[in-house]
This record gives sequence, structure tokens and C-alpha cells, in this order.
Amino acid sequence: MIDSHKKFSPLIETPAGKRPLTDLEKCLLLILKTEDNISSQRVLKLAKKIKICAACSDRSEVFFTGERLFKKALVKREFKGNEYFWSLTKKGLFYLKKI
Amino acid sequence: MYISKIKKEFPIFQKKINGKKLIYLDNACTVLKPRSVVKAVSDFYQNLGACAGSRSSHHLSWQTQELIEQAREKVREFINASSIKEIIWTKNSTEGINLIANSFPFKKDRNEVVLTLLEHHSNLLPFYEQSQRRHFKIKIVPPKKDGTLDLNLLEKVITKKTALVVVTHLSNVTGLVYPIEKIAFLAHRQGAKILVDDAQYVATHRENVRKNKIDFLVFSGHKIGGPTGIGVLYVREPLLKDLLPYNVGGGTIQSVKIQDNNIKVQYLPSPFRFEAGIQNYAGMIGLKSAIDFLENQNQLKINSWIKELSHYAFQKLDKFEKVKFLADYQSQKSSSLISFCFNQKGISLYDFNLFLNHELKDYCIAVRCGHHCAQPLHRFFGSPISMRLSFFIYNSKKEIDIFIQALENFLNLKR
Repeated sequence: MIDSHKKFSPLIETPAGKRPLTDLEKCLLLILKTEDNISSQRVLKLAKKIKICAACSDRSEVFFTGERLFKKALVKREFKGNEYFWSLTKKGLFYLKKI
Repeated sequence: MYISKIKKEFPIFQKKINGKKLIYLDNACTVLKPRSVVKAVSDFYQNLGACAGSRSSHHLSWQTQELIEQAREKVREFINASSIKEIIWTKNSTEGINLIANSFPFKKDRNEVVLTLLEHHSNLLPFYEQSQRRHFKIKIVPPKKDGTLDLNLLEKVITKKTALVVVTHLSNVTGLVYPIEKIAFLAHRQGAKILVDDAQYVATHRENVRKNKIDFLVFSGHKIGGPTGIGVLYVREPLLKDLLPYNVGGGTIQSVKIQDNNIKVQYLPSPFRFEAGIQNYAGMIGLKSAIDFLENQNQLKINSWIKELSHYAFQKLDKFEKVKFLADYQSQKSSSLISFCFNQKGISLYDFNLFLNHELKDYCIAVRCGHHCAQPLHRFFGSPISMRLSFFIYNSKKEIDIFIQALENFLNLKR
């Protein structure tokens, strides 16, 4: 039997077990593939251009997703001045290749 | 208010979040759960966990049935309804509104719904969707720029064609209370009915459906400290018989017959004909416990304390030049929350929200940042999003001071 999730979508570890990346998580990784080390405001601008990001109903979800990926070490979040900047980690890049 | 004593009733405050103390100012989204509610829900699953008595017939189901009938009576008393027949269990306010939008008996010569722009999506979209299918019209009344409602305008919009006036009692964006008794008078004078969204109101105010002459009312259990997934729809008794069936199935019927390929259905009387399928018994029992908790705290005291906190937060925030409010809190005191945005481009509310979660040494502050499920109202106020501070009985002025200090620190940081 072919497990389509395993083939096409990378699984991430969570406290409750492994699961595939959600569309919102893929969306943020794709945004950071387009431009790395960008501010929250820039993330929101780019989110409008990516089809998969349509799953986001409230823009705060973008950052809620960012927090989840940060905890799983797929993205980096740095506070500079009074802004947050987002970038991909090596692990994030690895997952990105599988999307 | 004895804040430290009240906080002890909420298990979450005994824990630290990422090693920091929690300051919870997101009560308009949901109120945290008191120990008594957690215990009531847990006790049900530990000791009963069965179907209620209207389906099964054994000791566990009889006891469950008894508990949920007590819960229904508690809700009736809480909003001063006339009869327990008027109390319909739903999963939340949104479901109750959807039920009315689907079931209200519109007529050809009375086919308009009057809404206000203050409504959140849950009070707008059910009517929008059904207006497309059931062919009734929607009229939307904007608020004044200060966030209040223009009753003269409302009076003009409500006509003999109006079937239903739909309005929030306390806006989840402005935090202002709207004059339901007067709006009900305007609706009834033209022969229309009124649906009141009490989702935000009942946590901090005592509702009285008979005094306010309300025809339909909804609220959610989780916003008063009850469990998620349980809500209430109140329908004034004479109106029950005219509502069309909505969510039907097991538990709603008296008899079903199939004869020569024809199905004949006789539904149960209200409220049961609206409560299809296995119900959220634990939710109902938890909601009763939440109401008990509120009543034990003295709701008048709760109301004045939360109003005081809201005004205190407004006064402190008003000193910041970069802060713009979504309502005029100077002339109208907010009841339970304050919404604001930054009036300077380049300062991000989203970043400030993250800052409150990550950058404070001793505290983690939970607020709501976004459109609060009210995009049209945010557009009206000229800001796509806002930050909302909403209060409950466990909040203190010291917590507001800590938030204000965090805001000052954030705004003083250089880009």
C-alpha cells in the first residue's frame, strides 16, 4: 500500500506523535524560500502571493504557525530593534525540499 | 475585589508558562476555567459518562438526565426566561444564530433582516448565506464613528417589511453595550422580532430576557468560564412553534412512518425537536457549574470591577500618542474590553503581540491581535486589525500596569 502522506508530505515530530506539515506550515516555509531573513510585515506581504496560504483566515495565524515551526527548529525567529525577523534553518530547508 | 483569592480558583494560574507568570487579557475570546467547572466535567465522565434518560433507561442515564435538566433550569433562571422549553442547547452562539437564520419563518411581505455593522462574522454570515437561499433581504446599519449606534437611523431602517432585527448586546470590538430594550421597542413597534447576540454580554452582566423583551438570544458557555462546545439559544415560547426544523435526527422525533414510499414525521415539542443526536452532557453540566461560580462571586461586583479595569486601561493607553482607539472610550465607558491600533506605519501589532509572549522577563501576556472575526467593522474604523485587551474577575490594575510598561518599552525600542 502506498502512503501518499509519507511520499509527498514530510512528517514532523510533535509531542502527540508524527504528523504531516499543515498547509499553513508549508506556506511559511515557501515564503521564507522566496525571501529569507525577513520582517513580519514582509512575511505578510509575501503571504498574499502564495496560493497555499489561502488557508490562513486571520493574519495572526501566520505568526502562530511561525511559533510552531520555531519550536520544531524549522525556522528561526530573531528580535531586532522592535521587529521580528524570520528565516529558514537547515532543518527547514530539508523539509522544504520535500514539499 | 480579592484578586489573589479568586485566582486560586483557577488552576491555570498555579502554573507557569515557559517559566513565566501568566497575565491573561484575552477573556473576550474565552474565559479561563475555574476548578469547580473542571471538576464538574471530570466527575461526569468519571462517574456517569452515559446517554441521558430520554434515550436509554438505566441508573446512569437517569442520573445524567437529572443533571442536564438541572442545568437547563439553571440557564432559564440565569437569563430570566419563562420556561425551560425556551432553552435550546447548541454547541455555541454561532450555531444558535445559524439555527434562527435557517428556521425563522420569513413571509413574502415581511422578508427583511436588519443587521448592524457592529456584528462579528457569526452574526452576519448565517444571514448572508440564508438570504441567498431563502430570498430575504439584508439591511446593514453602520455605527457612528464613536462606536455607538444611531437609534434614529435604526428607527428609519426598521419598517413593516422587517422580519428580524439582529444585534449584539456588547460588541467584541468596541466593548460598548448597546440599548437592547430600546432596539427591541423599535423592532416590535413595526411587528418585527429581535435576535440578540449575548456572547460577550453574559460574562459581565446579568441578562433579563423578559425585561428587555428579547425574542431570540444566544450565548456560549466557554465565554463565562464553562466548557467549550456548549451554547444556548433562547426562543420566546410563542415563537417556538413557527420555527422550521433545522438540525434533525435522533432525539427530535415523536414518530416516523414510511408508507408507500412516503415519509411521515412528527417532531417532539421544543426544546427537544431542535436537539438532534447525542448531546454534550458534560458541557451542559460544566455550564451549570460556571453559572454557579459567577453567581457566587456577585455579578454586580464583577460588572463594576471589570468596567473599572477597562476604564483604567483606557486612561493609561490614552497617554500614548501612537495609540488609536476603535471607539470613543472618553464619552462612552467600555464595559469589558479596549481595542486599539498603532497610528504610525512601521510599528507592527503582530510584533508587539510576539514581544508580549517572548521578551518580558517575568511575565507572559496573552491578548488578542487580529480582526476578531469582524473584518467589516475594522474596515469601517480604518484599521485592518487591532489589539484587544479584555478583562475578567481575576485581572488586576497591576497587570494592566505591567502591560503598559511593556508597551512603553516596545515603543521606545529603536528600529
